[in-house]
Amino acid sequence: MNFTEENGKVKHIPGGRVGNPMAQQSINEALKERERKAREELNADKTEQADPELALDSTERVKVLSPGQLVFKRFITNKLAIVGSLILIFMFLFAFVMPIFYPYSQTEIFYKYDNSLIDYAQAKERTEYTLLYLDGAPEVHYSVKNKLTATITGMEKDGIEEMTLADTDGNSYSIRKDADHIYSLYAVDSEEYASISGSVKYATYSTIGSVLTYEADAEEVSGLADAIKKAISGKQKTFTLGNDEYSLVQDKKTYTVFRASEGMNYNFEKQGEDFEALVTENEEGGVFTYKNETFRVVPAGEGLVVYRVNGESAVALLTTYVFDTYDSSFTVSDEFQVAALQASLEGGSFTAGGTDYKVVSEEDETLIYSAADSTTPVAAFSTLVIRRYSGEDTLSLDFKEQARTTIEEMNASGSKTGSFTWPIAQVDANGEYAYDENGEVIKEDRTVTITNKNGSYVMTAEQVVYLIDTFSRPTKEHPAGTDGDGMDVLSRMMYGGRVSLMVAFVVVILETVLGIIMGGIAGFFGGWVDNVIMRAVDIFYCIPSMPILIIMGAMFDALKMKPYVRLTWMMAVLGILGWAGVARLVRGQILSLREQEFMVAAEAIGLRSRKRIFRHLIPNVMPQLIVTATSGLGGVIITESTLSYLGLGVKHPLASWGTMINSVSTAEAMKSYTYIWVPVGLLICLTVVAFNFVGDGLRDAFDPKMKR
Amino acid sequence: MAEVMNETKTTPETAGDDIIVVKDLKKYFPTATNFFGKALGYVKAVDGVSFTIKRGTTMGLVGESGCGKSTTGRTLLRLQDKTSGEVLFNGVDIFSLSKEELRKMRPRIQIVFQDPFSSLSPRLPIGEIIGEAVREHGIVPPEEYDDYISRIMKACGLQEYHKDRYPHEFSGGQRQRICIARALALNPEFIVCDEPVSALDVSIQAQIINLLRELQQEFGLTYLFISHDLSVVEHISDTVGVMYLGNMVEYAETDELFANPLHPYTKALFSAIPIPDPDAQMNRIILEGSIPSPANPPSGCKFHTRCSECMEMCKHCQPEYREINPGHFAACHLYNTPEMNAKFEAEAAKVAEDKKKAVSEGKQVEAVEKAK
Repeated sequence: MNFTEENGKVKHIPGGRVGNPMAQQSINEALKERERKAREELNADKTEQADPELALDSTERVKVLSPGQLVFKRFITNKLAIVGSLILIFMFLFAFVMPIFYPYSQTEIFYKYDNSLIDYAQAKERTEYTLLYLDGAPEVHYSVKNKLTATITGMEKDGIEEMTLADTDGNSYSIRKDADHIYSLYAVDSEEYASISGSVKYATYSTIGSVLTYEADAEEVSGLADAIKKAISGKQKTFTLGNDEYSLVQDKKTYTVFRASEGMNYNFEKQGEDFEALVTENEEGGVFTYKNETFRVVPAGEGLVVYRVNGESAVALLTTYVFDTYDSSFTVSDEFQVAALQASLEGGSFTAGGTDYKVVSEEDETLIYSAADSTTPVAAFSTLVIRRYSGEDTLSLDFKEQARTTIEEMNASGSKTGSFTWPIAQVDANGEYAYDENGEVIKEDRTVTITNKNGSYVMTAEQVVYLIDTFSRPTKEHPAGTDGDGMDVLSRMMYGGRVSLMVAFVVVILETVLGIIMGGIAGFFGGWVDNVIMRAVDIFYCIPSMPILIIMGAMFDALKMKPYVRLTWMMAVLGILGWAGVARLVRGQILSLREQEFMVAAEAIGLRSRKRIFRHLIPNVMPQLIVTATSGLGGVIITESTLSYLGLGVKHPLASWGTMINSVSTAEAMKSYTYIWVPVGLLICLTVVAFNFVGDGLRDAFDPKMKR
Repeated sequence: MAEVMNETKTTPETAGDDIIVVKDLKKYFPTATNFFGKALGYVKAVDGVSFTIKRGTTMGLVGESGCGKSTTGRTLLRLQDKTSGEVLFNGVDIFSLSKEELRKMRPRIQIVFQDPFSSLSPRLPIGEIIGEAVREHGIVPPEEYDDYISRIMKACGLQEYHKDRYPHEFSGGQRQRICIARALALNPEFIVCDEPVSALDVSIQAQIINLLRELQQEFGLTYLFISHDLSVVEHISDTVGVMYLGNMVEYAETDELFANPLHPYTKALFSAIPIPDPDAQMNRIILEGSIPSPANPPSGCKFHTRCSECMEMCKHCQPEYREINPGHFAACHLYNTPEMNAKFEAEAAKVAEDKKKAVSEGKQVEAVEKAK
């Protein structure tokens, strides 16, 4: 009834319509026959038909696009996708091609010369006295040695020129000033001969039993005991009895009674008036000779003590002078020093070690010339000690001379600072001296500034230091600056991009391949295989990936893996953790595709399973997969950056965008070194956004509902 | 002439003329499974269907949606496993073949699907869709391959240059031609046309039907033409089988069936065919209710719930599928012989008795339970 038109043409033949059995044998032959007949007919009336291919409305003229071409066409009309693609192309060129032309490698450390003001040396007036033994002199007892500087300082303060010291063994020494900064130490053999004191020990009084005992040479005084009792009870320290004044010194229950006296007390035989006159003459301290004997008067307290000197010998020289030599091979012995100092006192020359020397005093120091050569001094001494702050290099005598001269000038003019020019050794990055090609230390003339800081002179100088060029701002040499390790940031951005992109692609390919295999098996075969694989997928979904990755990172650290081995492992772990999603997607797709009639048709036309999977299933799953994988790339880049930032992924010195951001992980660095982390952050952002754009573009392009 | 063979009568000799012999084919789908995967219930999609198709003829298979037509077609091709029964193709049981033997045999039995949109892989060009299996099975020598594909396409009304195009560039009718070309290219003897035109508009339907008929006449093909469109079936088929709920209810030559339908279902079905005459009086038999669930089919005659001539025995006894007129088979109690009537009535009475007893016993049990 619907076929009224055809009913006339095609006759319905009821009954058997068994066709040509030969045709069953080969449809090909039948078709050939048909073609041949058609051609014959065509030949019979050629004029009837022109070449049909030339027809204007021929569908042949329509350009044929394969699904792939259609997708491409739709893709390139998507502006965002184009932007994303361009960004990605740029990123690839940037990461994989530009490093070829860029002169620096990712781990190259850059250095720079920099002037840094260092505390070069220090000068200080020496106050410590050195003990220089004279030839063959006996050792001075340590109790004296320890007191020497303090004693001399006291003497200088009081303006005393001579001082006697006694050691714990009862030996006595005397120190005598020879000149400023030079004292002589003598060992004295003397005894106390006489003394003049304000009071004389007269008696002792014990309160126990009120016993008064007189000294051997004291006369008994009547009423003394009563007067003492009275004074004690009246808590008086002095009392008067007759014409004499007495004083009491309490020692527990015993009182020593002193009687004031004017006269001289002799320990030995009494001398005459003339002796006492000599003592009085020298009561400020001094030496006099009386009857061929030498006496020394030393003031003591209110009175004085007269020593009979039986003999004395010079033991040592005491000095604050410090010797410097011009030539480091020239050693300054104690003997030389003593001779030089003594010569300086007499202002002449001396002989030490068989060589004659000449001493010339200058304002700030004293120079010692060899007698043979009067132009170059061999040594000098001064009280100004000049020392290097740190470093093993010794200061040359010339430097010290310069410094002393400058300090002298400063002191003369009363200014607090002074300066002079001096070649200063240059240092490389490791703090070691930089040498020129001749193996000599590179020196450069620098201004040494001396500052007087409470008597200590600090000498500062600018030293050229060969430094690691860290956190350099963008310059011509380093368009993006350098990072905290002195590595070129632009170069590291390129190599880091390489790592990040490579990790992204390898991981995505790995998880996609794993996902296709597992999901494909599960979806195509179904049944218990599907069940097992999908439960595995569920398990993988349950695994918290961050803790696993953190543990892995710690494990890799413990194993001290090489950066590239570590990178490989990281990619493997990320891939293994990520396949579950792809597997689930592929399985779902295959399950739905399997029910499509073209899959049934593929079975009906007798294709093998392999062909059905690879020619019919997989190509139809691909679009979804490509979209997921492309969007996944961005995610992997983020993961990789996060891991590297946390120090679990790519390790220094291998660059990755994450590690680069990590190098400025403090608030201070973030504030100050924006030129390092901002470009890297932008690169990450751009790449991820670009991958997402392309992924979205692909999804839209693959979506058949999206008409162009 | 198509003739339904009795199962017992089929011999290898007769198989020479009968290309397809289906014997009591059953296909049940499990509806629910227990924990161990054992089926708890079944949908009896095909519940004992038998027919024979003679070489070079077309058998139409009609019925409502869900009556098991397509399942029969697919099970016939072993695209899914049977539950029981036999399918003989040229005297060979398809289900006895090994996987590889089956694969080798595939080209000889082909199928054209209902939906021309989902039955073509969207990512393969037409030439490849048609030629893929030709190469796989070596239908023609490699040097003739390209020409062969062109010829097949021409034969199916496609242009040679369509080869490199993709399915999305074709209309539904063209796609169906592609499907036919794919089936035809394998040089098949038998094609199952599973509602090949129901997704197409009427003018295209005619093109496709005529194409199928031309091809049949030219190449001596045998079709099993599944459709719910009676006019199409009338047009193309030599014999027609009517299915209802998994069973064949009537089978006869096309002219005989359309002229003289026996089964009430067939009558109802045919009454629905529109007559292109505004003055014609339509004598429609309206079927009440919808088709029962094949998971829980009615007892007795499956059609009795909707049958206008339902008798008591219809409710309890399954009617016998038998030759009522020569070459005209039906399964309906209306055409029972008197002996059969007596037998079925007795049986029905017995079944009714049993049921009543069971019900009353059930009531008693209930009463006892209540008393307790």
